[in-house]
Amino acid sequence: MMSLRETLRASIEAIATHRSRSLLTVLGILIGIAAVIITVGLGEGSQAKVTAAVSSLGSNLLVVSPGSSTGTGGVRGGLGSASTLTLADATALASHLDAPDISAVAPVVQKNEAMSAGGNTWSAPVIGTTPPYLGIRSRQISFGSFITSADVTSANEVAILGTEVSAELFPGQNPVGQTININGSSFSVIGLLASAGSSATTNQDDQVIVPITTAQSLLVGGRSGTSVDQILLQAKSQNSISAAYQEANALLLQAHQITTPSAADFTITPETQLLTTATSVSKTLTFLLTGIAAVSLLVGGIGVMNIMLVSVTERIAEIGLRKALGATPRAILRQFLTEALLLGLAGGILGVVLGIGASLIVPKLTSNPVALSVPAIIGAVVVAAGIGLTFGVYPASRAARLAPIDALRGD
Amino acid sequence: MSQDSPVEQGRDGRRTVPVIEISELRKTYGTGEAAVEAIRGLDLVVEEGEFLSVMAPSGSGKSTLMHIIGCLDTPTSGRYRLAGRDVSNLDEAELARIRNRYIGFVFQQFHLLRHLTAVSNVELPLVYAGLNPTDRRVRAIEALRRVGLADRMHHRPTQLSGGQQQRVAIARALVTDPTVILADEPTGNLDSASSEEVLGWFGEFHRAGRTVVLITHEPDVAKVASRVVRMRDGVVVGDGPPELIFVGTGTTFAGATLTEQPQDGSEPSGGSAGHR
Ligand SMILES: Nc1ncnc2c1ncn2[C@@H]1O[C@H](COP(=O)(O)OP(=O)(O)OP(=O)(O)O)[C@@H](O)[C@H]1O
Ligand SMILES: [Mg+2]
Repeated sequence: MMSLRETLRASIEAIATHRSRSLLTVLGILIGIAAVIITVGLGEGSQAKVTAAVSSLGSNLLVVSPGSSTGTGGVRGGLGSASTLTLADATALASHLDAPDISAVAPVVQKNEAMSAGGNTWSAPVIGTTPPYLGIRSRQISFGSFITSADVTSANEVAILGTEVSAELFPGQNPVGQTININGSSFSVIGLLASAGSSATTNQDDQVIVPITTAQSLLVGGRSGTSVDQILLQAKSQNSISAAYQEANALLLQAHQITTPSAADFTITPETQLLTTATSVSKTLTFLLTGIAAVSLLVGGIGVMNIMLVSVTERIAEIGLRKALGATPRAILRQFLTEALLLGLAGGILGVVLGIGASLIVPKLTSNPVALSVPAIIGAVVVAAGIGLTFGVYPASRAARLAPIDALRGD
Repeated sequence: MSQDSPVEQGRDGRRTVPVIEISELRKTYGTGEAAVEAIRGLDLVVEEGEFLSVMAPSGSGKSTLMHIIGCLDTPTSGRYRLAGRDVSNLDEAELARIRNRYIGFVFQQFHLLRHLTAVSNVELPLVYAGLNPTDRRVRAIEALRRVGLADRMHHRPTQLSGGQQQRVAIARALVTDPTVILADEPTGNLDSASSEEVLGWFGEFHRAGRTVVLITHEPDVAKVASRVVRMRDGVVVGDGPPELIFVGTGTTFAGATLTEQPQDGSEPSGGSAGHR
């Protein structure tokens, strides 16, 4: 019986003896594995990007929007109100007694407005809201302060600028303490938002925030004074999102005096749903790319089988001699399987090296992030070894079955 | 096991077990129309310590016999006992272990592995015997020393002459201390000087008490043995010491022990396949 070490040694000797052929064998697997690592990395990278973008909108977020998601139902409204959501709804939702799983509520009105300061003009979304908005959206103030409850109560003409608005209106200056003109009213700038980059859909640095009451009276004219465009809710935790959803739904149905839930005149969308929609796209892409990489691995595996078969034919005399000297069919099988396994393993390791190298270069060329994951790398090496082994079975069993006399007659 | 002198009979008249005991051996290649009967009812007994040569013209079934004696192939019918053990119907794995333990092969084409050094080639049978690397090395070097090649142990086959390569192969055959050394045309690829040297080694092993079976078609080679068996068309046609087998010319035999293989005629399926 030949020990594992002996088998390994014999296999390494054989691989080293036929160096260029071994290299060619390895090449197929190497390319396949590198392709898998890059595609999986690209997929995970873009998924991470989407996740980060969505969660930058705020964590454990639920968005209440006016209008039914389930068809037309009864047309509500009347009295010229554009929205079925009001400040009173927001106040009701903020009740810790009735909605214990909702930790923060921020009603929002939003409109694009022209604005100016000094000689500079700009146009950006103006958001009217309340103090909890900052926490719900996970934003930060880099200079000055955010709006206060007092600002909301007395509808003060104060504004907080996003970095891009600030750069347009006050290039190279600190905007805090200055005055801007929005839609004919002048606002004093009391704060500057820290940059948050772009989310999936909006540029979060190109906006101006004002107290919701100020916005309602000065900016979104024509609308009913108390209607809001959206109400942002923050659930206490990840686990209480669905409880928060239930509470908000019940409260709003009651406030709007709707008895059949299907006739609701509002829609509550949990953030996770946004995430799911956004990631499903990149998941499909990843799946497709991984499929292509898997096919290339399969081709690599067939390459291993091919070259191993050539190797068996070429080494018929060696196999015959080893058998004559006492190698059992199993010992021969094991030797060739070990060879195939080592070739696969070598291809896997070299492929990982190539894949890591490429994933360092690709982001520089295409600005697509590549996320290297340790499980994917380990998985790739294991798969490569497995492919070597699987596609080595046929050549190895052919070698093992060779009759010693036929093999010895080889030359 | 006594290796000092050739033993054909036990000291007190009790027979020792013969190393090779073959009776009514038949080997047919292929089936139906294409069947070739290479060995047709052959009997042969080789005692421990004998130096036997099997001599026959080309195509007489020498290699076929060697393959069966060496457990590289199994007979179609008949019985073969190696060192007292019936090996006619063993499977591949068992045959491999028998070869490893009992047989030392020397081939016409040397059959050394090109990518291994001389000493690694000699070690091969010990690898399959499961010996540890240190013991293997020690025994391989000792075997190479016995054929006078200890100074070439790290050379590869391509760096050695034909005669030296065959000596490495002989060392490989010796290294397991086999019951039989089996050589098929060992001088077939060598010049006359190397041939003589190689045959000299076999004579030496014989004197040291080993059993050697030498297969050849050349009378000059066959006669170095102490017993010559002549084969023709798959049967034994002469058996005796070289002095008797090679009376007169070297090519026609006039052996006293000439046998006519009477079984051949009595067996209905006998030579019929060949005479059809
Ligand atoms: N694998 C085989 N299949 C079919 N016929 C075979 C096979 N091996 C040998 N034979 C036939 O069996 C007969 C004996 O062959 P064998 O090789 O034993 O002869 P040999 O005495 O060794 O000849 P040589 O001196 O030429 O080596 C020949 O007729 C040969 O053609
Ligand atoms: Mg022959």
